[in-house]
Amino acid sequence: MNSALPTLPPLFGLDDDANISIAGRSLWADARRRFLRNRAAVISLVVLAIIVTVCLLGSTLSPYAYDDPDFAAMHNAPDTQTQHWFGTDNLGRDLFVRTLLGGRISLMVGALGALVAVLIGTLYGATAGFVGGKTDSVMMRFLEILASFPIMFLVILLMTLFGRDLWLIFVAIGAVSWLDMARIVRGQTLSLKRKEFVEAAHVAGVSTTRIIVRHIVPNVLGLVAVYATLLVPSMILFESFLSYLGLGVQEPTTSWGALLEQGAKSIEVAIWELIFPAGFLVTTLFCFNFIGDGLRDALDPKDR
Amino acid sequence: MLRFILRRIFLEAIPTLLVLVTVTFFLIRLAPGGPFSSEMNVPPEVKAAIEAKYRMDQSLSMQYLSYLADLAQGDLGPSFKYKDFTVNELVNKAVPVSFKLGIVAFIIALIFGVGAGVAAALKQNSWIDYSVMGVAMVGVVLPNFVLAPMLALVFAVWLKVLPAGGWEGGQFTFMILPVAVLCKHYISVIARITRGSMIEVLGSPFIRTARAKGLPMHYILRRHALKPALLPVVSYLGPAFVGIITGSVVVETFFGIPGIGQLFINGALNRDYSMVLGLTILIGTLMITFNAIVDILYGFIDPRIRIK
Amino acid sequence: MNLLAVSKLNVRFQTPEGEVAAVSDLSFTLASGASIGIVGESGSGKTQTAYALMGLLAKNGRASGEVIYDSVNLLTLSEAELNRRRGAEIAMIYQDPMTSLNPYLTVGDQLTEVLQFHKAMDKRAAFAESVRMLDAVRIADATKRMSLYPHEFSGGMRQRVVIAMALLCRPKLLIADEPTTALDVTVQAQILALLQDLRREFSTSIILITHDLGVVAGVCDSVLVMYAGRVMEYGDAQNVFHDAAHPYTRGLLHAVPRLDRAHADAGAIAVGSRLNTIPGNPPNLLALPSGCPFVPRCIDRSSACLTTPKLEDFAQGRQRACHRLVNELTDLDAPHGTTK
Repeated sequence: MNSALPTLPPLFGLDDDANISIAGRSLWADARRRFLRNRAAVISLVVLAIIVTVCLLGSTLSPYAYDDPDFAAMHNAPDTQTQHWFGTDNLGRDLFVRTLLGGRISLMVGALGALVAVLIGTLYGATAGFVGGKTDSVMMRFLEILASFPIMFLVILLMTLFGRDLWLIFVAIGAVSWLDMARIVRGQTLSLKRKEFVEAAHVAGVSTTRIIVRHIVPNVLGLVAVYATLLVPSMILFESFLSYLGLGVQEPTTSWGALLEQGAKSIEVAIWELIFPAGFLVTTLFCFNFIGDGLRDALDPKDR
Repeated sequence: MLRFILRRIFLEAIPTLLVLVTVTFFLIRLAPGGPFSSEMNVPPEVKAAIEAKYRMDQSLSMQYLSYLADLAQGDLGPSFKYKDFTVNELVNKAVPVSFKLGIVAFIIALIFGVGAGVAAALKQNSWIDYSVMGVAMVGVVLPNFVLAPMLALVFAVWLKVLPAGGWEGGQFTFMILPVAVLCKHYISVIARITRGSMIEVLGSPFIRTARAKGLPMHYILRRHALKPALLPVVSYLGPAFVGIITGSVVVETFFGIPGIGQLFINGALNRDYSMVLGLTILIGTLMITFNAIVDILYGFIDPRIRIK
Repeated sequence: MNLLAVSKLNVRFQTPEGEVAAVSDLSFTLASGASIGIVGESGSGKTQTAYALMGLLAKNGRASGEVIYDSVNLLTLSEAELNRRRGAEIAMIYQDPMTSLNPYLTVGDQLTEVLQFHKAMDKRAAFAESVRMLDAVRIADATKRMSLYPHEFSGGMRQRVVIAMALLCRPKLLIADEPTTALDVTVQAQILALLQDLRREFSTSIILITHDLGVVAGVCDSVLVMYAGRVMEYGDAQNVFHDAAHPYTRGLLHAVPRLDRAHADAGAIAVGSRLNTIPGNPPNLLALPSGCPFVPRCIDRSSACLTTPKLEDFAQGRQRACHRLVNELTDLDAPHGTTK
């Protein structure tokens, strides 16, 4: 190149970094830094970890069992003397143990429901987006039809018809909540497929598998993580809703929603029956929402 | 535009409705211990009425067709539980109640949600913005079935200023708490959506153009910004409507309001199949219709869609 | 008499990453009916200068200094006082005609509202005047097109609409921010010709902001070269183009493709011929080097450049900010970049 520009003369004392406009940072390191800077999200993560630990292990501290009625101690107020730390319910069962059990069920339904939804949604969305063409439009049409169904009512109809099993709740909740996930993943896959860096990789002769592994998956993963985090609370809420209506988990097993139903009934005589499950439920929901928001801010490529 | 409307109705709304009806028809016949199995424990008069009604003596395809024909006439069949009533009679009594509750909540959610969202967007990062967004966050996260007993405790049990439940033909004082519970989620979501889209619109180049033309801010807001900022709210109206119907289930159950939500839950708890089925189809129809209306409305508002 | 006198204009933005100095100590004057070009790469502060003059800076931005227009300082005016001038006396056209019109209102509505506000015209008079202006910017079938929405126009047509909108009140000052960048080359030429005609017809002063030196050469009397928010060179357009006196200006001029100049070997455009660009990237306004902002990319830099050069007169009506003497600078047009 004869007429290439003369090279820049060296200049002692010039800070070379000053000319680097954008410092390169990896996606995940950058995301972690952004997430850790979000105080609400970090605190939520800690609080949530505590709640999960307490729900899993806390019952061993109490001398009571979750299904052990005591008709001499119905609607008893919280009392450290009797070791009913959260009081007792309408049948004299220990509320501390029942709240933690309810937490295990609610969190499990939330996590498993979200898992089902994420798996179905991601597979469906990725397939539609990747295959494209006719397949894509048929799959999306089907999705639209499902989306305009009265989902909640169909689930209740299902529970009326097939009984109220816990596993059925997972499946029903997960199976109706993957729609948004599928749409999001499809959109992301489609836009990634057209992105310059993917095309560039294609042109450079990188194999399709490698493109999927190196470029598509990491980029979709962030989004999936965000929405999975936001799905968990909506799953928990869904389960609580069903249980509150008496259509979810059945006695003597319980969940936060079922406890709330009882709490709402006895609010005038025993406010603790509402306060403790509600406190746990609402705190958990808040934590998931803050974490989800934090993750979204950290991972959403729109912001960068 | 006409093509868009026709397409929306005949290629989308009606097929969706057919799928819904078909799915529920076969679901209910697949159910173990369902209404069409012999061991079902129903009063003999009801059983006879059901068998006649669903033409149990005929082939499945005939049953399906006559079922469709009945539905087309709005006939939801006899109740499995209340032998003297058809589903239609029960639903007809409940619909006005739910409708009144839902419409009031819907309108309040729209007015206050949009108002709060616009205020927050205009005073971005002020105390107004922070308090609106804080309350909205609580509103989105706090479930109906937690808020309802809390409000009842405060206003009915402690302060004794409002009734804790009942309907009494929809008197004002009986509506306050249910409406408050029902609309809080939608106020919050609408406020969030409005704020977000308003901020985006106010930052868009065409608003800068309007300002460069020397137009006063209140005029720019009304004439240039409001419509595009409300478009996302319009697309949320469909889901909001669905959500309010769903939410009314909790609210009606808690406050003892004789609407379709309560009817539905009682039906589910009592395994009153035709009631649950009928209401599912009714609500599905409402939802599909409403979504179609919202889409068509959207087409009228957004000139770029109108052309297609 | 100067229509506009900008002195020591500074624009600062507060961002989470720190203060951004978008424009620093910018001064220039513009006579009635004259036109000035502001040239620079993206991020050089051209557009923010325009927004500062119009009072349209983003919320986190602050402008200081003086912008004397018609013997008032625009920077100190209230929103209401500014609104009386914006759109009436000072108007602006934008880089992207696709987004600068409101997609939800008809073109007619967007035109007539200007006249209704500034000239207190009624609807019919405003409509008639708007149609006349659309005719003036050569939009055929103007009456019919008044009821169309922006997306029903092509890019060039939309830019004509934007220009018509800016000219409705016969402004004394027109700020055009990259008016042709988003358009096809043939349309670019038409729009520039249109601007020239309108300038003659309405004797409007024009500030033309662009990165395209060719556009400036065709339209402007004087030119101001900006880098990192600062003026590098200022002078009569012909002088600046034919005898650039700043390494940055020279680099910019050399980066313009020209058919009369071979970019590789003398002669044909051979395989491997390349356009010479300025090495390095546009500056990061958050982390400017101390001294001359251009120093990291300057082929003529020396140790003196670590202190900030002043913008100084060096010839009749010309200013530059560079420590090196003009005849010390590399002549990029000479083969192999020898020094004069």
